[in-house]
Amino acid sequence: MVTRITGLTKNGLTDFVLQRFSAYVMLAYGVFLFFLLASSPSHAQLKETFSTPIVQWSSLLVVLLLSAHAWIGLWTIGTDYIRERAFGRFDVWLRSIYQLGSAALIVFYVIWSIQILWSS
Amino acid sequence: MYRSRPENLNLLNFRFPLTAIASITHRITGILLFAAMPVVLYFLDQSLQSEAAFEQVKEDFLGNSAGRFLLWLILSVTAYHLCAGIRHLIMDFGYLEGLKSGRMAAIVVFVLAGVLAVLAGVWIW
Ligand code: HEM
Repeated sequence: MVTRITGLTKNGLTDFVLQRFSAYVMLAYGVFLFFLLASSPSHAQLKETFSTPIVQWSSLLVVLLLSAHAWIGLWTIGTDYIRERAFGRFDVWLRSIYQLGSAALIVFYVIWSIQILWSS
Repeated sequence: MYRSRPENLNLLNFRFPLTAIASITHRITGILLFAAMPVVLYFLDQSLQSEAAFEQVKEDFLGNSAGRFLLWLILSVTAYHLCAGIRHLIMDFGYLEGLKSGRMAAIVVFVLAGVLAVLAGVWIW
């Protein structure tokens, strides 16, 4: 059994709500992306779209919400499978490494996203 | 909490109902989406870099079958996670939670995601 709680917000309900909220926002952003891509934009059009402040800041918001969504999701999966039953006394070690790896990847994605959004 | 509850999670013992398959597929597509993020970010990065980089990345992804397949895979996985995610959000409001309606909803998710995957294929090829 997993007793250590290292989800995103230390509160399961908050995590749950955050995962739903991020899903709604990503859905809306997805509709925007879909119509953008469906219009077969040229490089100039894309660049223009992504250099408007509204698009930049809402994209950043989506990236941050996506990070929360993925963090919570990956944490759920980790605590479901990396457990004492399967990994004996190494479970906490393994889960910590998994959690650190996920966190590192998420931080890397966020920094890269910011760089993309504000360098164009 | 009771610490010594009996547990039987020998996965080979189960016959999986459709709803369980829908659920595990949602989980797997979630992991795949996370794994696909560098590809998506690379695509966006190159597209915004310069006219030449834009043409190059388009050529890299759409000019050969491996690139097209990767792109199609990402779109299809997204379609599934999205449909199954929406099913979750509907269930949050208390619908589609019965045995019959849940099964029906799982079927709808599979069919819808399948149709979207085909459409994505048509779009790319
Ligand atoms: C690229 C973006 C996304 C990534 C990387 C991602 C990743 C994940 C992961 C890893 C999980 C955990 C799965 C599990 O616990 O079994 C998850 C769950 C979930 N995702 Fe996403 N997801 C993304 C986009 C979306 C979108 C657009 C929606 C909107 C419909 C969505 C809706 C959900 C919902 C509702 C859950 C919770 C499922 C549950 O409680 O079991 N996701 N996601």
